[in-house]
Amino acid sequence: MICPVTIRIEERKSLLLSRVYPGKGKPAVKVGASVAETDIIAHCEVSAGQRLIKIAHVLGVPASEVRNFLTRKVGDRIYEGEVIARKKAFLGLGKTEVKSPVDGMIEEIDERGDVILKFLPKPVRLVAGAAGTVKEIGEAKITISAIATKVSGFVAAGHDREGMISVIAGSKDFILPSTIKADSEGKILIGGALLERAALEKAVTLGVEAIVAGGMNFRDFENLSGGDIGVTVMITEGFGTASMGEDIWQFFKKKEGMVGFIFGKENHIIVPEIGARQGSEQSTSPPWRELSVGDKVRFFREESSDLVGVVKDLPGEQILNSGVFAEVALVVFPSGEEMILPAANLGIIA
Amino acid sequence: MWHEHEPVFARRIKGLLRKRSKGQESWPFYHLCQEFNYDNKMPAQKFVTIDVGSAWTKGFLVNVTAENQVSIEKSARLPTSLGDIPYAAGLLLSKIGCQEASKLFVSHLSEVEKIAREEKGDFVKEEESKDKLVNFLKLSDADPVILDGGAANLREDFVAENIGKFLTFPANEIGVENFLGNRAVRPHVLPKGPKELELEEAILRASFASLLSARDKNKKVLLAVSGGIISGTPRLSRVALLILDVLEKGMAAQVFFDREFFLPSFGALLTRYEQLQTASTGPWFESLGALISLGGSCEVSLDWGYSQIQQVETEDGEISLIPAPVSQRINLTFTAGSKEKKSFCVLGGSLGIILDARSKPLPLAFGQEASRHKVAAWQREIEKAEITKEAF
Repeated sequence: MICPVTIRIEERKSLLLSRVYPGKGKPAVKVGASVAETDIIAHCEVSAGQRLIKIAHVLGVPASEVRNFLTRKVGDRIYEGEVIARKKAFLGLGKTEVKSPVDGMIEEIDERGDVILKFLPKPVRLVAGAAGTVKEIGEAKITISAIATKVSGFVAAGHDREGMISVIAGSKDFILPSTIKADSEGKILIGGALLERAALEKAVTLGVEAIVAGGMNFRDFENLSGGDIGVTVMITEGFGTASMGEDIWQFFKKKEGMVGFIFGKENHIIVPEIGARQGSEQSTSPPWRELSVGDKVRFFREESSDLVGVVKDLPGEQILNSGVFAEVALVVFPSGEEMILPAANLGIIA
Repeated sequence: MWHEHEPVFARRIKGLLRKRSKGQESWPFYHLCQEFNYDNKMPAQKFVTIDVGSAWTKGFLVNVTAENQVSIEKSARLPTSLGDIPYAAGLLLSKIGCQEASKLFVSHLSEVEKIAREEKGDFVKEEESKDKLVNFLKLSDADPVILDGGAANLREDFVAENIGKFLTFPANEIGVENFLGNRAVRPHVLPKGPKELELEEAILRASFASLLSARDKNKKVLLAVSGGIISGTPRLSRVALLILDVLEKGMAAQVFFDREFFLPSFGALLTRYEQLQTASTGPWFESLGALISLGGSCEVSLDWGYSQIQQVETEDGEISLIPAPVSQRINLTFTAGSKEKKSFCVLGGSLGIILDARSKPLPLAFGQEASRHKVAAWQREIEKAEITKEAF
């Protein structure tokens, strides 16, 4: 029987970490440079949006004439409280003024006579996040070769995010709203067998970066797959109540307080190793291979967090409890429990 | 004299009926067309077919005899190695062996065409293969439908309630959805226990019901059931109950069961070799018999072609199995509902004729204990009938 080869945890590997500019960016390093975790690798400018000011409406002038009443030209900067448009009354008796509500730049005047004011970009310094060597500098990102550990999930959804790792629950606990504390902003929260919808909503409100849990209900996850809700979610085991595998939970427990990078589309999380100088190359395991005695395998079951076992025997074909005739494997779990399982249901852990 | 445009399968069945009327002994389904001489035969040869599905990849060494019978000499199955599809296909080719045989690949996955080219084989799209199969199965008095029990059903938009009502154990909507979500990510996973098997069968019920609801209720349907948990079923009676559950009131189905997951491969062979339209199928394609959904208690007349007509009275909610050998022709008449009288000409099979007098749509509601008891009782009833029949 062939089984999919899954790499749940790739420890201390030479990985490429992409640091994407949060806005317009200018690199502060060169290819080949060695960087530390806190080194600034790029200076970026983040523009947080725009504001619409209804000039024609407030001044009571036609849209086509708005330009004549502006105190600044399109492309000029203006600061909060400064007059952006002024109209004098007949014979100079009084005037109507519109002041800028924010610091910004006049982007354009639309056909309704509204001025679009783009917020002034804020400078942001992009730090390396991991010690390593700058491998590549692209248009929108800098790639660093670093020694890190990669944890792959079952499914994930959301944008790429980063934050401090915080284990908030045991591997078998439910993640309830009360599990998520007020100081969770900017963190990657780890743990639990079931991420509840209400807890996820609270996480969004608090500004949590990501949540990694063992299980989640399919209907809640489906709601995430349409787009990013502000929090990235990674499920490590399966849909439903699924205790987080002890291997993954223990790993994160060791990494508590460190910075992690979660990649929603690629369904993994990377945790750079502090002070590590040398790591092994990333595994090049085939995605599938023949199952053999001695293989470390994962078998998903809702009722236990003892998910990873070792193949003790391959007795051939047998009738399963369901009555289906299939190739089976005898798997022994760390608890000592031995189970005859359909070989096709196993995932080989590389 | 056969009409030259009449479908071949229809000719075979008519031939069978004519022979029966002469009082000859019954013969297995796959020998039917051996009784006839077809000019358009293929020379005896071997093929290797590789059917790459969403969940499993199936390989067969197929033998087409000089008598134009298609039989399976060797077969093997592996999960479809998504992400590296050539791996499973290559392994199966080496397991099947027979380098000299022509290779034929069939799949709905477009990347398989490239694999077929690399293996110096031919490629057939699954849709094409299905069309040819339908043509092969066409009967003048029946509407052919292929019920594929494969992983494609997991892509159907489902309502958890429609699945959950067929379960014998307590479950909630969220649990059913989670099961479906997990299966969609790992489609090759097999049901380990009876609950998982029930869930898989319930998904098929929901999927097949929508397929059959659009059919003409006055015409017999010819169902070719194959793939997934259907071909791998532990008991034929489970397949029969699954189909009975989705047949609407007054419908009659002649059911053929693909024991070997071979139907898509056979369709691919039919697509590339027109001569096989006259071929007879091997024991892999088993006639289960006829399933009749009466919709309630009624009197059924069974004309076996003898001097007397058998009258059977079914009670409301009853499922009865009447043993009838493969190829036994029976003219069956019953009154569905208050007035509508229906007649169908059906053939026996390995299960025989199953009369279902349960009211339709089935009075089941998700989450109710009474419903769970009913489903469990029906399962027991049909399994008992099958076991009793086997004992005789």
